[in-house]
Amino acid sequence: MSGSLDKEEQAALMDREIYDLALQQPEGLDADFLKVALPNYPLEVAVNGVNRLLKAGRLELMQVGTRILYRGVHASELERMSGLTGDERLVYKHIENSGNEGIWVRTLKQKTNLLQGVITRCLKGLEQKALIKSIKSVKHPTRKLYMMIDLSPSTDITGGPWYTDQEMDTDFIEQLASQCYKYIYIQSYPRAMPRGVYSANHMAYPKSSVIHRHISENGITNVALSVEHIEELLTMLVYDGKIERLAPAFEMDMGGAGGGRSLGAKPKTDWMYRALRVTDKDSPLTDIPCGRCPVYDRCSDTGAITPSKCEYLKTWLSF
Amino acid sequence: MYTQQVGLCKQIVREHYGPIVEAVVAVLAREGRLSLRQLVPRAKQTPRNVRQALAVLIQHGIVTHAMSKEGSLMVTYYSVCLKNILRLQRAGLYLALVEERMGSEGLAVFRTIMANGVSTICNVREVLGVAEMGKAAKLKFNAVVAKLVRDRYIIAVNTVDTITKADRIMQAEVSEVEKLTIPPTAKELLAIRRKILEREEEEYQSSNVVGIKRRASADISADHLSKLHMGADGRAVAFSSHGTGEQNGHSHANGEQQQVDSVDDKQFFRAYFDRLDVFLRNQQIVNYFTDKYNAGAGALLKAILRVTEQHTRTCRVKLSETVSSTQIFQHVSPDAPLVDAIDTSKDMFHQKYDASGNPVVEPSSKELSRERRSEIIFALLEVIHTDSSGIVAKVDERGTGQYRVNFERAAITLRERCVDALVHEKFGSVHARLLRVLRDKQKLDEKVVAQATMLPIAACRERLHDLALAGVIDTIEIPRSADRNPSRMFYLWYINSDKQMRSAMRFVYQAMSNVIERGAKEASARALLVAKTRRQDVIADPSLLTDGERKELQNLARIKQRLAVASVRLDSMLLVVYDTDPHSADLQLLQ
Repeated sequence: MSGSLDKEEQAALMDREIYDLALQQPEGLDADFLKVALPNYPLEVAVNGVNRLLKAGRLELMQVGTRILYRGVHASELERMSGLTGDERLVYKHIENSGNEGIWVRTLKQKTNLLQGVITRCLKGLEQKALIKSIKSVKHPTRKLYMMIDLSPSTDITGGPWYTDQEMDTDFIEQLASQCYKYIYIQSYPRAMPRGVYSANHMAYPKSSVIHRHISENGITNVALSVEHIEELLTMLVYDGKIERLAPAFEMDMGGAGGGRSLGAKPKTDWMYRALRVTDKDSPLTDIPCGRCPVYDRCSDTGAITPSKCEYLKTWLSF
Repeated sequence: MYTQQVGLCKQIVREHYGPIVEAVVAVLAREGRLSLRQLVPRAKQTPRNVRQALAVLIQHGIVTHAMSKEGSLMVTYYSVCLKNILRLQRAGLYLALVEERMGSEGLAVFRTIMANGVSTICNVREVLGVAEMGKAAKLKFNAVVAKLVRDRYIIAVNTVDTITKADRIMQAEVSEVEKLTIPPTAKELLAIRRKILEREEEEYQSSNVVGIKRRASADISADHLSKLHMGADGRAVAFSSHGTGEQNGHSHANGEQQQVDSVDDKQFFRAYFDRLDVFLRNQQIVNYFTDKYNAGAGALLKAILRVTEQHTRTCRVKLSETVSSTQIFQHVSPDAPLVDAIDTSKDMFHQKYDASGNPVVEPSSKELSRERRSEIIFALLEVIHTDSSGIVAKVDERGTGQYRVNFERAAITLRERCVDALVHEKFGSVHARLLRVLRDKQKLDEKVVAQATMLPIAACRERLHDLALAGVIDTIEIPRSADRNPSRMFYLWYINSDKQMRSAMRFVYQAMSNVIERGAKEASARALLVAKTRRQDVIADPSLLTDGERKELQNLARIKQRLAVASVRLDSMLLVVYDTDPHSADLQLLQ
């Protein structure tokens, strides 16, 4: 009796040792590792211990390439999983593995080989237990993705700072772009010369990093923005014809070689930005109503819509 | 040729020559080249009227003719050149340009030639009544005419010029083939055609000015001329044979001043609009730099173009001659607003203070020292040649540098600006942004376009379709599989420049047509009132007009002016979109 008790105590002791080892190795451990870490125990005994822990759910199996690894399951996680059925546990694991990218129901079905009804029931159960949450991606607004409740979705899913409630916040973009433009405009022309320009070797035109600092330091927005986000806005302003990009002269002299960068990596040009002058001249088409006439395509010298009968021209000529 | 273009041409011809000529032009534009026998029933005019209309049109270079042998008969075919009709809209600009550069005397001569289409100098002298004027006026007239001919504002014409260009080339080909004893092989025929085109090109490139002779001026000293040619307002207006208008102040070689050009009185001349288009195009380039930088930069460009325009005969020229910075310095107008044009200060704060702490005021442009002026000009030149458009290029780094204008780049830049303005006006700024993205990145999928323009994909797609419907952009299909299944295709958006140019031109033609039609309607609504003003009794006693009538006449004048300004501005778009492009100018050579 006491011998069997000793054996049980020994097994429990070994289980604890293996479990502690597994917890210390978040990447997982394999049989070879156990052999080295527990030299006092024969491998068969250690394997039995692993099997016991696997059965109790305190270890989980992972396959990395051809290797089989064991990973320790934390007590809190164990507690969470304790109330789950086998299917729910499987679904939960796949959702957990998807990380902050989330997983689509159809992908879940492919990976688990479970029926649609079973998956739906599992997802419902997991949602009720507040373990997972459903989100929508800006890339595929019709797809429902599932991810762990405590994770925040990646920027690929949320769309980054430009999206609010899965929709592109064009007003926010316009506001921010206008602030950037104002800042660039002030820096683009000498204050003492309203109609003057800086000389060609002027290098103090603002760069994206400077504009980023201006936006963050002045509290223009609460949304956390990176320099890349500011560059996106600046690119948009370039395409709006409001600013233009200037290559820094020293980069051109260096033949495009980026100092301090690893070989093979494409050097990133640190562009300067100059605002284009706002001209007070309007286009010839602004002058006449034909420029933005809503029925222009139907206007001809015959029929109901003709220049002779045009109400827009009449109003314009009566000014 | 577009429906809108033909419509506009008809309206312009009606405005300038009346309904009979309009009927003839309408038929020729619609049906192509026709003989008189075919033309008369189609135009629904009497043979006499058609013949007279054709004579007027040939005189003004709008219609050309060519003889063709049909059986035993020689039939004359007539063709219309729409471009020359459209140029009538630009008449005011041409006249203003000539007045600016040649003074009022040059304008009088040029206007007479333009009004007559083709005219001898003898005839111009008669129309202007030069014979009754004093010796000074006669000398002035001769000098101005010589300058107009030498600078190619007017060009000598002969009878061959009224023959359709394509027919002329065909006739030359026939005569070359006839020289051969056996029928030519395809290779020989190709060589003949190439030779004819080369001959045409050689004639075009020839620097000889037809209709002018240079002779020594033993009897007239430069001093004497300058005394004779002092204007009424005391301003030294260019009457010497080498400097008229504002060019008077510029230097000419002393040797040249000893010679006077005499123009052949019996030679026929016509206005050379291709040359005048160069000046209008140059003005657009100056405007571009003035808008982008400031008036100082514009003045510099003006100086560069003034130096180069001697060698820029038409818009076909792709690259200007090189100009040294010293030449530019010399040709910049003394009135050019160079003060405060560029910040050349080395320190961060431009404002300078004197000993008492007061800000130092820069002198006016005219009072600038030579050193300061050259410093500003060279600094501005650096800014201009580093401009993203690439219009001005520095070709030689030695010394202060040599510069040259790339007219091809200029044409592209101006056209892009014009199309952007058109899209911006018609659709809005977001559409213009889409257009610029496609111009920069070329062929793109709609998802990438949406990303670059920071638009929701649905909104982006909608706008792309708007632009495609307007003919501004186009799609190209890239199949993913060999079956070319539409559902498995990539649809890439891109800019088809030819199609875009055609769409822009159609739009401008339509707008101009609308403006002219509205003008005609406004005039016809007040036709009775206008007729009343022309009555002898009303001319003698204007009080016969009531207050209401006077007000209405003022209103009509205001409307006409507004429509005329709109029309001229629209025409400038046409000039920029099509006429100034070296490629289209090349194509027009064959017309």
